[in-house]
Amino acid sequence: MILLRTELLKIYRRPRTYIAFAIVAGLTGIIQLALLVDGQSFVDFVMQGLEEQFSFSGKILNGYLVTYIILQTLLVNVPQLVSIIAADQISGEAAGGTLRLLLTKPISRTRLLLTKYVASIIYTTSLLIWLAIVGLGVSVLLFGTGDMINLRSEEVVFLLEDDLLWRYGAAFVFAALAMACIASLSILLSVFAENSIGPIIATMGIVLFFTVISTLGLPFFEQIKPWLFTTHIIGWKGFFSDPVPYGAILRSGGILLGYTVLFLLSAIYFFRKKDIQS
Amino acid sequence: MKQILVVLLLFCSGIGRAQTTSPEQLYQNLRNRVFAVKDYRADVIMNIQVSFMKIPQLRGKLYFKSPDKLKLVREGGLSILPQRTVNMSLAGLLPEGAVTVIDGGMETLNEKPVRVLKVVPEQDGGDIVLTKLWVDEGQLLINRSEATTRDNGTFLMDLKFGKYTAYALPDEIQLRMDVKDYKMPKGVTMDYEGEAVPKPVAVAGKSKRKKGIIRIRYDQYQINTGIEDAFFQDKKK
Amino acid sequence: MNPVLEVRHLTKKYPTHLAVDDLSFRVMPGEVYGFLGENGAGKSTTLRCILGLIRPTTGEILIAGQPFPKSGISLLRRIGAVVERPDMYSYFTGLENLRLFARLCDATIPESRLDEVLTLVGLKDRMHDRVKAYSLGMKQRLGIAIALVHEPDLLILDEPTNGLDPQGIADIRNLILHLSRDLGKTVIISSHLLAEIENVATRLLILHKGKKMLEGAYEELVRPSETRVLIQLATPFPELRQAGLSWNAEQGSNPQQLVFRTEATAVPELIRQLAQQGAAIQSVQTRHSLEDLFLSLTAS
Repeated sequence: MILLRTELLKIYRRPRTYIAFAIVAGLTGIIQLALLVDGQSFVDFVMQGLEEQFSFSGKILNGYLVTYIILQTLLVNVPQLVSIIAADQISGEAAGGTLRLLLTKPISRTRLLLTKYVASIIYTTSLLIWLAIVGLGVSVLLFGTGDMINLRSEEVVFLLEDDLLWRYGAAFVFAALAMACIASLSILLSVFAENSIGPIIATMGIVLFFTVISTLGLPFFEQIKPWLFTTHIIGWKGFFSDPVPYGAILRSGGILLGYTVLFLLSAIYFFRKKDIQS
Repeated sequence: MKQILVVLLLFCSGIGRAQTTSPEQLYQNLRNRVFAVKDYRADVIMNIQVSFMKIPQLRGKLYFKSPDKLKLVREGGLSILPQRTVNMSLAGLLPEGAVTVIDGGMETLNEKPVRVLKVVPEQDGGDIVLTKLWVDEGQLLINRSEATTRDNGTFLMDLKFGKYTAYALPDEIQLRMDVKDYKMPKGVTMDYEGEAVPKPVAVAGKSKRKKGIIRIRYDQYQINTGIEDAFFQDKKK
Repeated sequence: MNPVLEVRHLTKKYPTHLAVDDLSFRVMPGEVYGFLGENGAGKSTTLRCILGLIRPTTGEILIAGQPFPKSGISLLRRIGAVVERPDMYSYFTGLENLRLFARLCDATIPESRLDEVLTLVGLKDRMHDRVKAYSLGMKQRLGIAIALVHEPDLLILDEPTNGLDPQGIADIRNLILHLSRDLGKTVIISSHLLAEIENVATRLLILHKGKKMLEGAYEELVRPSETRVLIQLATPFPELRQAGLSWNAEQGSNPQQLVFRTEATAVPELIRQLAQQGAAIQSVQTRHSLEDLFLSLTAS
């Protein structure tokens, strides 16, 4: 527990930690402001395909839809924010020279790594809670609540107002799982580096690379797509389908968990083997 | 005896005359009856089944003003209605003035004999090119209508009458309409594809056109209370 | 008495070179063990192996008689170390750094102990400053405080005076002397400069290219009879060689330099005799053999 407290102290006492919080608040605020000012034309634009045949009335652009838009836009970028801290866990200490001091203390490397991972998860969770506050909370305050229309590429899902909050709860839990996977990748990369920039960029690169591969839609990539963890990161969206595809979400969660365990075990293996030269 | 025969004949001829009401006259009678309702509001339960839309059962108040204003109001929520609400009210299907009414003969609908009227608007340019009405002559009610439009396929509406028969207002309608397929670029929606999306079942054989079914159950009609036109103006979304 | 630390046949091979080559030594309680060698001799690698930072290729490390790390990571509780630069968390204060590392060794260490150690290393009045603002000497002292706080059996200081100004060097040296003489600590101290540890170490090990060149008690290594006297003359004076001196002179690195091997106590007499012979003495340098040996090793 002392170790965990120490690691958390290291995370939350550093200014760089709050950059991520500021970015989340900033981006969320910009999206909210933009929708507040020009939301109608945005709604008209996305609804035009539907308005041809159906007329909608009522507040389409309510807090719940705004939150969905925010999550859709932001959650893709949260991995970067997670990596800022997670990819720094080992490499940052190596760069700062504190790793050798830390490791001359009677703490096993496995325990240190796992503790650092848990600390990263706590940071990630706090970031998501922050996102929930500024995203969901502020959006609901600004735009009010209401039914949500979720536009998917081939269907439109109409979700009732009182049927939404649990979906957001579940979505945030899933997002936390997805980000835990990213964090484990970052920590793995962190083991190999002597500065934190490398693993941060590597994490972003891998996420970007896989995402691009899966959006290309080429036949070969389609084959491997179900096995890329990036495919499953957006599994939170499943909770906004009706009926909720629990099977698929469970599978996505399982794959993410599998990757997390794989990344973590590799990280532990390489960290234990590593000669500390920094 | 002769007198009885005359009475009988008269009686029979009376029936005969009823049976042989001209299509135009029947149309006019129906029209008069339907248009007696200037407006209403009713509690409705709406089920919308469209292949690409997942919509839960909606409860709300449906407001109508003759001939074609329709508005669904849900407490604090969104409401959805087909764009061409005109086809959802009988009044809209019974255009005034220059129409040609053709007798389509007798048919059996729901084990009841009904008379079929075919209504063709004479003036060009309207969306509706042909309306078929299945009429219960005895009660002077339209049990089914089918409107064929120029660009938007056909609208088939079945009506069930009950408590509000006196006003020719249905307890339940079921509207079948052609619906164009809907698609958004995946790049915009960024779908989660872990979901097994059930392929939309094409009700109609034709591609691109799918059947949509809207069922509305009415209750607690309040009739001719006088609803302002402005009420139907769409407020800012 | 059992050794605090024993290293047996330690070898660390890298793909490109052999960093430590079959090195064995023991450190007994109360010793100040000087670890001497030029940069790259393998001192740091050896110390890192002892601390578990680097995995030896072969060999054994015994801390308090128990094999490490086989017998468990908790053996590190018996050691306190400053390895190379004394890096700390710069965004924490000195006290916070000390507390953080102390609690990792022993969660029950009281605040009073932190205070005590900070007083010992002379950082009490700066303990609430962020480490960011510390000088290298202050960080070095904080590093020693961190190494000491959990009262380990053995203190390992890797090049503790590296990069310090003369005052800083003196501070550290006095601190180590205090720890050793007054508090009876066992210390391993490494350096690439003999001068920095010769007055501190009670035992020396000279490492060269990963191999042990020499090891022994400081007094044994620095035998008085082995002192060399280098005398620089103003002009060549060949006669001096046979001038009936009590000592045989050798030619130095230039014709004007003479080298005598003698005891340190005999130096004044030697100079007196040379002066009597009329030698124009420019300078006199005395070197003990250890320094010679070390210089010859590092020169090669």
